[in-house]
Amino acid sequence: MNKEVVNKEITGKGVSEDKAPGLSDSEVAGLLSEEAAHYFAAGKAENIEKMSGGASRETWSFDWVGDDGRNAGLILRRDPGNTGSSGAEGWRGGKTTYSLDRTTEAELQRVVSEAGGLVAKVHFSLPENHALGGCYVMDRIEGEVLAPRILREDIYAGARKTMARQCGEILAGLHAVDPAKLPKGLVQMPVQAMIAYYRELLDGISEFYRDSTAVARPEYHPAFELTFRWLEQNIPKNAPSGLVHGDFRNGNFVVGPEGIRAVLDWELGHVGDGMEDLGWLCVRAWRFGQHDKPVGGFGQREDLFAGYEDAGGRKVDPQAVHFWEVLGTLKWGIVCMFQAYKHLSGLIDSFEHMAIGRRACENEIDLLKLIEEA
Amino acid sequence: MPQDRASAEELLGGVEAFLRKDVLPQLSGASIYKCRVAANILSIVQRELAQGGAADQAELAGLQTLLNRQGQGPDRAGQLDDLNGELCAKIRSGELDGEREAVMTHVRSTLLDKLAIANPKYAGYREFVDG
Repeated sequence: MNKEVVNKEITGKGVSEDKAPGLSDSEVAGLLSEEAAHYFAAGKAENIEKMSGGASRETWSFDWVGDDGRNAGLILRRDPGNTGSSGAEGWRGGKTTYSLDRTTEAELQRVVSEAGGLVAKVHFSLPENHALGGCYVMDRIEGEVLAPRILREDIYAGARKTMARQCGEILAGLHAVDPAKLPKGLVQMPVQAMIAYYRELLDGISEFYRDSTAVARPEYHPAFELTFRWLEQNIPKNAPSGLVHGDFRNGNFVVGPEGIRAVLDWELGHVGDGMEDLGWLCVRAWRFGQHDKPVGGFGQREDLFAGYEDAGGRKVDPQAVHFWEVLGTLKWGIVCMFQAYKHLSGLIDSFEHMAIGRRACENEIDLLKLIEEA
Repeated sequence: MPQDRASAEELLGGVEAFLRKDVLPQLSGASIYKCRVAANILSIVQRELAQGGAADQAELAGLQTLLNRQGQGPDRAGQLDDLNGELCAKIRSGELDGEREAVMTHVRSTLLDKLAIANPKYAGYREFVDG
């Protein structure tokens, strides 16, 4: 794959340049007030506050204060105005080409909510061509999202004891959602397609370094090659296909002292093998130093699997979960490469991202161990 | 001709100490994170200057043994790229499936040298080094 293809398909460079610049914070606040007034009974938006902003998604918190005295805490999730959100753009901030647009993501959240899933209720969504850009408004679920706090603070000690099992239960419910009810925009990602995707990314970055940088050297990763080879030879057989969250991990959970209250960020939802979600949750990157607790830094695999099976999930094959942990660790390693690439290709200006390139080898050493264990 | 003292490593060490001891305590917000990353980058480069040459030499020797040829290129970097290109292509095609032990041993040893420079505190590295 040549570098133009990498830029267009994988980084979206060139896509953002054609679009109008992003809205100012006060413009977003104004448009949000206006739109919310169409959807709720008479009242007004108050305490509008930008919670996080980045290259990929913005989160805004606000309260809708009804004239009848009703007060609702809400969240706006939107694409920054200077980038589109369609899947074709791909790979912004480590997201993949199968990323959902906001309308489809909102629809997916509704489907999961109706199926009884732990997810914030969606009130309305707006299409990409709206002045606010693709976005949706949902309930604000109070609780902690930052993984290191959830893993260390005393008030979450009880939550940590039950979360591995709870994750299994949540995933069993999620994977059982009726496929016929899923949004049409959801992509089928067979494991072979996912492997091919990361193969292209690795090769594309290496070719870019060789052909288009002053250093003019390709980047070789023999441990990633060994992993690709291992993956090809160990693809789980006869895996049933269904809804997969795609980024189910600590950091995308809203947690209270009693456990997980909601699952966030449905952007990478797709149709595939549910074991992907169990494996991804076990990747070392989410342990934040709690290495004796392989499930997200808070629990044991046995509890995750038992929770899954007891809640009606299919019998867990630990080998299949291991396969997805290997693929997840590989994905994370290649994402590290991609972070450096974003700076070195001029897509962004961030020396911190350059430094992340030097962390690819952390995943490589883990991968050697993982593929030897199997 | 060698440069005068301070050496490159000594210069970087001085700047790193300045960032950590003088600059960091005065910062707030997102700058704290950036300053830590900047200081960490300087320590990576110091380790690379001290250990990089020996690591490259060991990697080259390992590749030459494994692939049974010297590798072509105007310098060590060129030889490394030539041989690593072959190693990766042969792993990918399955040609080296029969020599898995030798390949794993070489790749592991190269990675440990790499991590000793990039992040010697990494848990996955400590598990190998400390047993």
